[in-house]
Amino acid sequence: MSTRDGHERGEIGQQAANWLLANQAGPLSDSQRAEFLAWLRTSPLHVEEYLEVAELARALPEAVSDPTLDVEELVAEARDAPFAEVVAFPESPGPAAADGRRRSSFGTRALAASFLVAVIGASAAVAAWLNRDDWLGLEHAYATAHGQRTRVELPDGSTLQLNAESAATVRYDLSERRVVLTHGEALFEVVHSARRAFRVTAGDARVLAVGTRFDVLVNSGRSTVTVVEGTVLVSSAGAGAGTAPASLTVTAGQKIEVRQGVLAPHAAIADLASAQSWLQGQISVESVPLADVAERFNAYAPVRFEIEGEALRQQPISGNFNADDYESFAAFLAALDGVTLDRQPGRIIVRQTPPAEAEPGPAPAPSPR
Amino acid sequence: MTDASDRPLAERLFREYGGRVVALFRRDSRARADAADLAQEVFRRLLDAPDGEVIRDPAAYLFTIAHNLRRERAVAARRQAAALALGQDVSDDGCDPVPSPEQALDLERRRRRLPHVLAQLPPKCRAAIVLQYRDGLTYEQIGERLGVSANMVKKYLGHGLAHCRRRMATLG
Repeated sequence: MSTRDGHERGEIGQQAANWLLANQAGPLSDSQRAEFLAWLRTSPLHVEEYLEVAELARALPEAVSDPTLDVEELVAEARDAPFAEVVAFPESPGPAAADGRRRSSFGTRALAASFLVAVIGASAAVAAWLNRDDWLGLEHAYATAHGQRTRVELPDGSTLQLNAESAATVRYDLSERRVVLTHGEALFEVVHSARRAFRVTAGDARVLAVGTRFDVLVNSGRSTVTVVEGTVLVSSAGAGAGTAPASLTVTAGQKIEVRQGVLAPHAAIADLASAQSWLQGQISVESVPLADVAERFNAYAPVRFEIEGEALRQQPISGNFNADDYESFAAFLAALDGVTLDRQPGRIIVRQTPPAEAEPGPAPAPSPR
Repeated sequence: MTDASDRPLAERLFREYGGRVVALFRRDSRARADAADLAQEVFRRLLDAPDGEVIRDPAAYLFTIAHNLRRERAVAARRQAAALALGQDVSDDGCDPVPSPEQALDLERRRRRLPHVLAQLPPKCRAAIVLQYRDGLTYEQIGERLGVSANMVKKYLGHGLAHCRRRMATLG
């Protein structure tokens, strides 16, 4: 995209934002609707920017929901901030005429909540467009097709890996994180949170986790929960099934089944490697610290990557790798500037190249060794 | 890590190890191409739409077209995938489009990115956005908190939205 195009897109984006605000504030007047329609019909870029800004606005409530944010401080900072920052922004030919009407309408909707209601009302059309719960009620739906896998990171850092032909919905709220595994298999890595429980529903099985890593497989009428790390509490949706226990604690290295609504009487020894074998696919990372990426390879590779030096360990890595192909990852690391691989039996030590061997250029970072 | 620490890692990876990392970038550009492609088709249908119908609520009309298009495409993609994988037929069951793993990742990434983009806004814009989208205040109430007019609040919000959109577009 050329600079001119970028500038043009920016201006159209600004107009789109103004129109979106006008639409969200209430029904447009006849003349405004005609003007808005004419604006939309100017070019596909106008349509694209409007759709994108609308999508952005829908994501905002969640993005600003951080309860630890100090609004008073933010307001104080805003009051002191230079006025020019905003007025310097180029005026755009947006729906300026909407202002007067909006001001007058405020009298009738003075309640704080009423604006929210108006936004939600205006958003009904947006919701119809996206029509997915993941944007409306913070419920996210994920599904994989045959031969596909996906890894989803939840806002709290917990992850959910979906095997092929699987589907799950994820919902957050203030008191809990809830996942419904509709079908298929998923591996969960749960970040500990004292405030929010992590609950998984899979067929008849109910799993309560705190901070742990576990795999859940749903087959017809049977759910298997395998715990890799930590402890989970498993119960059955089937109420009072004879002598079956109501719930059981399952710890690392164990698995348990819920069959036809009945929880197995005790946990069994699990083969952790096989329970997670489906993960041996793609490792896709974006700005993940090198040490963490190495750990993921170490889970599959016949050798162990050991990263030396904190700077190198924290170096963000982006890319797609085949988890089985550790040699490609080694080659990738070897191609990085100032990185040396030291191959030893059973392990590959990755360290920063000592200064003497570094390429000519600015002073190299001090070697950690 | 030595002489190149001032260059983005991604750029170096591209240069030095193109093939493996390129997939990630291809996904970005594909998502962008998809959005442009969708907008093109929505635009075309919007032009074809009868004035009398579309004028009642242009935004709702626009979103309906976009939604239907997305669903049509999702169904087509699922059909194709199912035909390839299982030889099965997938009918349009009227369900909502399920995002592909790539789309899901893309959405997730954008969602995680947005708070950071917001944090870079000028304080007045950021405060206006938080007060509206978190606390649900009216323009006038926000104006009272910030000591400006409701009209000015609208400008902060418009500026803030447009800035976020630009940043998100740049970041892919």
